[in-house]
Amino acid sequence: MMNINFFGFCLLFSCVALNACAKTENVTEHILDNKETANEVVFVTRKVISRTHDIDGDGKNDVVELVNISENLQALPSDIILDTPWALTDEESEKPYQFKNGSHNNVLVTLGNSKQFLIHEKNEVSLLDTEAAQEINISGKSELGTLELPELSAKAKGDVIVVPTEAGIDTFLFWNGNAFQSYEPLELP
Amino acid sequence: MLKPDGRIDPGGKTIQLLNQKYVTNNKPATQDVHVSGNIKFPLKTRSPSSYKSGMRKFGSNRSGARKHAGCDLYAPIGTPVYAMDDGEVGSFYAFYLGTYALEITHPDFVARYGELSKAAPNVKKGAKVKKGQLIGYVGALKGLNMSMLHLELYSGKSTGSLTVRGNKPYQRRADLIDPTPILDKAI
Repeated sequence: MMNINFFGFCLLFSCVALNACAKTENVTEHILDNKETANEVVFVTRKVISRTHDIDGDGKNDVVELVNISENLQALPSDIILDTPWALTDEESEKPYQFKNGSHNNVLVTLGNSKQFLIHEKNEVSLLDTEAAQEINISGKSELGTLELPELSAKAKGDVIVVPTEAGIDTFLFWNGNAFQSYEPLELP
Repeated sequence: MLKPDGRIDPGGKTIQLLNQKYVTNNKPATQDVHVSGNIKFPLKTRSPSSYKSGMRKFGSNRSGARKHAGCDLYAPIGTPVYAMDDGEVGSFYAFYLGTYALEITHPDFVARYGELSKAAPNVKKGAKVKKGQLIGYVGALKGLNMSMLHLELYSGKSTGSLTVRGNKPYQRRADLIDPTPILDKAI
């Protein structure tokens, strides 16, 4: 009898917990759902990096994700702003650019005001596709002083996205008030 | 007495002074690789700026208590880079400041040829390369006005990514080795 009572309690507790989880998920559902345009899924994979940092410095939490774009996607939906902060290499600047999809990783930032930015590297070989970059993380604005990067600290309006490199040196993506910008310390690997 | 001239390119006196300042007596990682046969030096000529001194040497200090995980072979942008031995091409990926790295598994070690502008044609993942075969070209580190082949060697006793952020001070895989003795013997 005692076992049955205990089982009943567990069942009741699980239902309550599941209900609570479902409510939490509903809050972010609109963000985490795959966007669709003309029956094409835009993002094949999405990995949330942070939901608790303020990237643009407006006091609201923003969502930062590492995303992979569908191979058959021809263009981004109009409500996603494409941002390409990395300079083209000499080799790439000579070629006509085509929007890349498929295996290339991108960073998707959804600001508190619902504006979405896809941070994308135009170079054929992308920094975001390295194994090191899979450890992408966020550094708080208040922590920037400890990085001893005064230029980055002065320009970044909010928390910064840290993109580790295979060289062992961290690079950064930050919001400058108008767009995302890349910052790579001038260090020897 | 050397006086700074404001130049940080390989021939500049300022970079030489900085190199002297940063030279340290770091112990290299364990040298546990036996190389059978001749190894090809990865460039056609040896730069007068030795990979055994200054900031070019293995184990020299970098910012944030990081240490140099390879040897830097100074060379002009576009200098051809050759395979040190027969091997199989691993991956080609972004490295730093607009340069790339190419991984090749050779019989006695794994090499990361870093700071390249591009790989040679047909040097793609899974391809076999011969000793002395052209594999890529030296690239430019954007903003630093320097160019070199950054060479890292691994014994191959470990597996996984060559960069391991938590493995201080080199931030590299545990089987990282000092390339100096191998480069010294290379022809």
